[in-house]
Amino acid sequence: MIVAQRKPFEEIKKSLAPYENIVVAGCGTCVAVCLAGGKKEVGLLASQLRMSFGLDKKNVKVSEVTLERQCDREFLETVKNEVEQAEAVLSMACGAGIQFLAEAYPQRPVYPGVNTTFIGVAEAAGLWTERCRACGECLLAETGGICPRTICSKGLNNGPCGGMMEGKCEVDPERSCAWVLIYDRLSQEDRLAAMEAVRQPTDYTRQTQPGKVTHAAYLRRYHADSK
Amino acid sequence: MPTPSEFRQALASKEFILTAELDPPKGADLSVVQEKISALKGKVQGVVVSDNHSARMRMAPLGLCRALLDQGLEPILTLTGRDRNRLALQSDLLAAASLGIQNVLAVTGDHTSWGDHPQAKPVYDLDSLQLLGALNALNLGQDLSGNPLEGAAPLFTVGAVVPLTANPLQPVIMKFRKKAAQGVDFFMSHPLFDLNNAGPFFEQTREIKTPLLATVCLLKWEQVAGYLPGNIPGLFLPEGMLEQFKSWGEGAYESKAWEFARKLIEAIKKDGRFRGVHLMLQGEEIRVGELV
Repeated sequence: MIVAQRKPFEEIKKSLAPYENIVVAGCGTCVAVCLAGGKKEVGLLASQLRMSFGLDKKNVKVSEVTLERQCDREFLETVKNEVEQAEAVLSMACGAGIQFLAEAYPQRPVYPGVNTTFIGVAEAAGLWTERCRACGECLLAETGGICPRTICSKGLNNGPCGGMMEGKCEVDPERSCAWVLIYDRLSQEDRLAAMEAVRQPTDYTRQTQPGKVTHAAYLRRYHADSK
Repeated sequence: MPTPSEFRQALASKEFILTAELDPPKGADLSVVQEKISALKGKVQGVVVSDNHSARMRMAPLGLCRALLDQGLEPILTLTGRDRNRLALQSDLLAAASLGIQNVLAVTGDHTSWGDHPQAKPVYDLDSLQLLGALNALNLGQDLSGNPLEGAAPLFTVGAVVPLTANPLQPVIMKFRKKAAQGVDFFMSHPLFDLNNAGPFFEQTREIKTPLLATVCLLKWEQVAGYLPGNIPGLFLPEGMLEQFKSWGEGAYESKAWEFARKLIEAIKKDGRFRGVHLMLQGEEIRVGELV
């Protein structure tokens, strides 16, 4: 899932200063799971904003709405009334959702309520860690299911750097070196040959911004001449 | 075809090789390091010029390497993949070759978080193995994309680093073998303090005959006193050694450390497994004459 962290309250409040009628829009998918921007977090933030504006003797209307997903047009349409009745929107979705919401309502200023951090997993209650950099050419088959481009701080392709110490990473001694983990895993699976091959430089054409993926069905529907 | 570098010729000779590390200045004025250059002249067969050492921004090694050549010293340019992508790395290498700089030590590079610009983007477009691939491609007259180079191809003497006392050792040995197979003219170790610790590495890599230089590092008292495993990238002090260094105390440390280094150099010479010694004097290059 996409992991995000709520922005500091003061930053959020400052960005909303020009408005007297705002709607806080949550997203019910990834950011809800990582406790950054789901329905519950929307409620907490909206209450905090109301109290804070109240203490400032400022009359600001703060409404709440949470969509199933902000990265999908059909869900964005469901909040048309709430968005159009407000002067500005504070989106608690990931960066993709915030942008798609802004795109769907070009007449309304949209502000981010979270910082989007990475694609990761829920390692424990309240602990999320990164697992994927979305590089576009997955090499997990050859690295024992451990991604060096993500888990190695330097994203190295061919083995540990000289900073590895007692199996730990140069950058964070609390974290295992990705290449030591990969070596151990491949060794356990009797597949060390996969690590012996020299991996060529990463193909960054796979990461050209902005990325685009088209399904064959889409092409058939909208581009009849496509194969 | 260019003439092989003096360092390549030294590697091919029978003499025991000495090199020393030199950091370019943090500034545009090379006179800052002139005393060090003069001290190293005639004492070492190669001067390894660091590339934003410890991720701290300094003059690019290209400038100091050329100054060394002008003064009759043999430069070894360090090149890290941390700060430049494959275009910049290759074009800098071509610039180096055009300036007569032919020896290159290809390294990964300490992470930017250690340095004085921790917010900088760590590039690592090429890792050290891929950097070796680029060097060997250029030597063959083509770039990493297979495009031919105009004019005579460069003739780089290619170096790489190996942390031969690392733990765990197996993944490090695997990378060492990959580097050797990629085409390396010389290896340099990470700082070594006790030759006994190099045993397991040599036992498992007997088939690789590439010249290997042992790095002797003069640690400062503060580095010893404040040492924790992992607080200086690439520096591993075996436990007994750390205790010994600390037991000298701050007052006696410096003279004892230099004496220790002298003995270690002699031991490496006698040992027979190393092709030479690389000195990391950490700013004290002016005193190189006390060691060699």
